[in-house]
Amino acid sequence: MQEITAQEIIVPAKKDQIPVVTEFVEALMNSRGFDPQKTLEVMLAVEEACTNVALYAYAGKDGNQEGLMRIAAGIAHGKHRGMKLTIEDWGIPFDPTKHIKPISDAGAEERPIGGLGIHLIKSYVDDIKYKHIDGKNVLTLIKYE
Amino acid sequence: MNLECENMEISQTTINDVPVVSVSGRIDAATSRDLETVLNDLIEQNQSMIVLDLGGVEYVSSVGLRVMLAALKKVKPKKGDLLLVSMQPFVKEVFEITGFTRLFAIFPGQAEALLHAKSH
Repeated sequence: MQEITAQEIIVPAKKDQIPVVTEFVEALMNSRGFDPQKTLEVMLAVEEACTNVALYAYAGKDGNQEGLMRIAAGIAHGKHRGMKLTIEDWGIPFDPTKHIKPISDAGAEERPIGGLGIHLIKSYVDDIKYKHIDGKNVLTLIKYE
Repeated sequence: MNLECENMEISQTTINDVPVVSVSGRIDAATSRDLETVLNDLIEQNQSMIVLDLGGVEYVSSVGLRVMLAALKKVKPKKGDLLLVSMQPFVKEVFEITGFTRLFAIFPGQAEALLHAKSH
């Protein structure tokens, strides 16, 4: 797959920064003529990945409460065109692909609040890969057109 | 009451003694706190039957789903409910994927939800 890295953004790993990231993804996909529905799906997957980073990556990591996350978005050209997104953080090693659980059948009262994000990521992208390299969590999401 | 932020707007009215909260825009990691505040305020005012109109919502993430589930968990023991209405296709799909359609009473429009609230 030939890949052109189009743009990247580095923001504090905080929940209030997530719209900055999703709007970055939205602007890029709109400018490249992606289908609006696919754009929403990718925005959601990226939001869920970044929410995990904001909530957990730097929790309790001494001296690194003001951690950062880097999001690189590229258009993948090849047999199929697609979006490739890489979400990186320097926090606690965590492989979200190991935490994909089936959705609970429990009713509202017993239903656990949590675990939905990774399920949504898996539902809305075509490929998820995780690596821990050079002290970084690197999550790669690919969505084909 | 109107609450506006960059990506979301919440308005609130009361029809037949039932509070109706209408949201438009995106319910995401940044805006969901405002929705949580509005729902919690109503629940603290002893409102247990609440209509949440999502007609203007084009996007909801898991943080938004959690806010709705948390509100539902608070009103259910009071014999109440959080009735969701007018979902757009993408929001409906997110509810289906996460199994949330099974947890909530979902109606095509406010009228149907209000009728259900009256008969409850």
